[in-house]
Amino acid sequence: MSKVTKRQGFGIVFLAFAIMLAASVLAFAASEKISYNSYMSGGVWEAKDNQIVQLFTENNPDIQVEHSVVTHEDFKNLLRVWLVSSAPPDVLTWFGGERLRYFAEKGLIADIGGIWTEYGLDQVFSEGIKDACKDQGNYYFIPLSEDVWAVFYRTDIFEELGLTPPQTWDQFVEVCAAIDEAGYVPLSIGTRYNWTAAAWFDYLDLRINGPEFHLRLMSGEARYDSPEVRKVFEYWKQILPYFLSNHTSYSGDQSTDFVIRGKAAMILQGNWITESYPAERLETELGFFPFPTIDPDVPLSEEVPIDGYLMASNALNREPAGRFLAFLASREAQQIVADYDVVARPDVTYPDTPSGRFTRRLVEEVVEPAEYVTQFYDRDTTPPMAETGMNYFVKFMVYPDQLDDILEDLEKARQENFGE
Amino acid sequence: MKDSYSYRRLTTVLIFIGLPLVLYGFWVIYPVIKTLLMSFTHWDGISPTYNWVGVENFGKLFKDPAFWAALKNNILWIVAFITIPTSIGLAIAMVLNENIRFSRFLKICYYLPMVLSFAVVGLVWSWIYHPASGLLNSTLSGFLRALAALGAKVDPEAPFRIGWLSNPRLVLWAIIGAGIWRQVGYVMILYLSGLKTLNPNVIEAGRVDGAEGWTLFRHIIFPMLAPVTTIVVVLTIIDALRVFDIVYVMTRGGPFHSSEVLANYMYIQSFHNYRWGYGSAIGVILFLISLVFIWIYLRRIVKEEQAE
Repeated sequence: MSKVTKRQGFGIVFLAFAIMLAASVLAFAASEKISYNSYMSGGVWEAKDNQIVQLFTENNPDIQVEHSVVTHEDFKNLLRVWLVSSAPPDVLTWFGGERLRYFAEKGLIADIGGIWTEYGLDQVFSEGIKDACKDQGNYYFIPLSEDVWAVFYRTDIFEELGLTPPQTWDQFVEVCAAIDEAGYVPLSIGTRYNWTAAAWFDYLDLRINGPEFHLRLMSGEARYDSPEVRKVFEYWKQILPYFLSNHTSYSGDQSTDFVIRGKAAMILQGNWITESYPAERLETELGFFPFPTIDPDVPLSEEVPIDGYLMASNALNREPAGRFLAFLASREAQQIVADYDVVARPDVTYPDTPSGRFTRRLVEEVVEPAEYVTQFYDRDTTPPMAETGMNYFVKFMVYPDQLDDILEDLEKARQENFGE
Repeated sequence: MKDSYSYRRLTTVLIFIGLPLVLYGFWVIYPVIKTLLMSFTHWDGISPTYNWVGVENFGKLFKDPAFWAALKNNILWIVAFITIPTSIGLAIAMVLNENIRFSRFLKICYYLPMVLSFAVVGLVWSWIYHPASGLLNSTLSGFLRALAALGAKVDPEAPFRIGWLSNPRLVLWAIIGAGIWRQVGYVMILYLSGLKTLNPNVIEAGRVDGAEGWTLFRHIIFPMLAPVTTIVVVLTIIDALRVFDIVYVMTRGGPFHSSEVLANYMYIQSFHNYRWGYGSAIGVILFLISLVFIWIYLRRIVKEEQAE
């Protein structure tokens, strides 16, 4: 490359100044600024998140949104740092329910009841969702989407083996055995980050002991060494041989690959499987059924964790941030994610695309029949209890013979975490 | 005249030492004291009150099976790190110190992993250890396939069932293996520079007296390398004690604490579980253990400097 002459050098410096000047003029054109941090990193999520911000700035040219995306795991750690700082991001993504209340009780989240009344959101959302947005009757949260959990299965493998989706536990075990015999992996799971195992624990507990006991266990009122919890693990033990071997090596996404590649027949997962599943094969190959019934007398409950937005109570730009939150609750914003997500607003239309149709079926067949909804193990109980619990769930899956010690240790952890 | 000279000297000293001292105080001394204080509390990271609980955290810690698992694993890290990379590194240094062909190229090859951070090494090795499509299992399977083609009764698919990072008995050694891969180059460089400082006359004298090969190494070269060996051993111990990133990236201490180390457990407790007091207590224990080795190291350094 040739050397830059002195004159060219001046030219470059001048050009740089001109660009900087132009950029700052543009920045000043928007009179107000808000910052928005989200955990919607990667793939479809990030694209949709960007689309939402873009639509907002188009509609509100006077507000400039400083948008940053952080990975999900890091976000969970950083949120606490942000919320206590004196100049936090104004709007943040977070989870509804207990994880929201934890911060609301500490006064770190702004009460946004005003926005709910001003925009009449009270009339829009369902009771279950509104409940997850509240702490002691006050609103702290704008709900965006729900994750829907179900057992997803390969219809082509079921057809080949002449199987039908099981409805009861006995049928489920039979189906697992038949798939195993045919040489496929019956149940895919990746427990490298522990949390996926909690879905099995939650569902077995919900189906065996019911939502009321489950929530008492989550809030530390029921014992882990009780006969009820032991029964959960005993049912779990019946299907342990059918799980993917070496599951502690794989992340959740990697375990989905086994289903996509047709090596595994079933997986208990959230509906985000529709994002990674090839769209053209989605409707023909992938089916789902709600977690099978174990005790028919137990009311039907499903895990439907809610994601959405909150405003930090130290937020510096409350007024424009409020406008942004109201926009996030609007039909046009939520419509954007209705392609892959089950959306909190009931008045969105799921588009006529493979994933859109699939999502609509999930709403009709899993969400709507449910009498009770829970969030998820690590959202319904305290973080340290969740960490310990999920570690032991995976340990149980590898060493089921140590159940007695595991139950004892879990009970010790409960007593320590809930101050007994 | 003399007064103003010493005054000027003092100001120079203050300027040169003062700023680093302030930075050191703020970034090192203060956090250490703060951690110590925090280990006596139940702070959750956000509450305005610290909630003083005395030595309760330490009491709980000594009853926590995960803590003992982490401590045991740290000790295994130390044992593995002072034996394996040290001897391999020394062996490679001895070979490459002779001016064999390509020795410069080989030095670069062995040193290259050192350029990568532990986090990157962890990511790379996670893929190497991947059960179904990792390099290690594929190679093993290829090897078995070749054996099978020769008529041996082996199952070439068998290696794909080895979960290097999922088998609780293998996982710790799999991670240590990845750590060693990086550490060897580091030890090699330290020994290579040590070998360059040896007095060739002494070695020559040994040769004249009939010392060859192993004897020459055992009785002349290795004893002369003693100062380097001390530094290598102490540095590897400190590296093994503070190991965090590679474990966090590869397994986060899992499955169920099988590959847990103190630094990772401290991080998980403080940042994931929001138990800052408990996490700090782990930090204090780790600090005390490290202090012993750092003390040995510093004494050595100070002694050497005084000798010069």
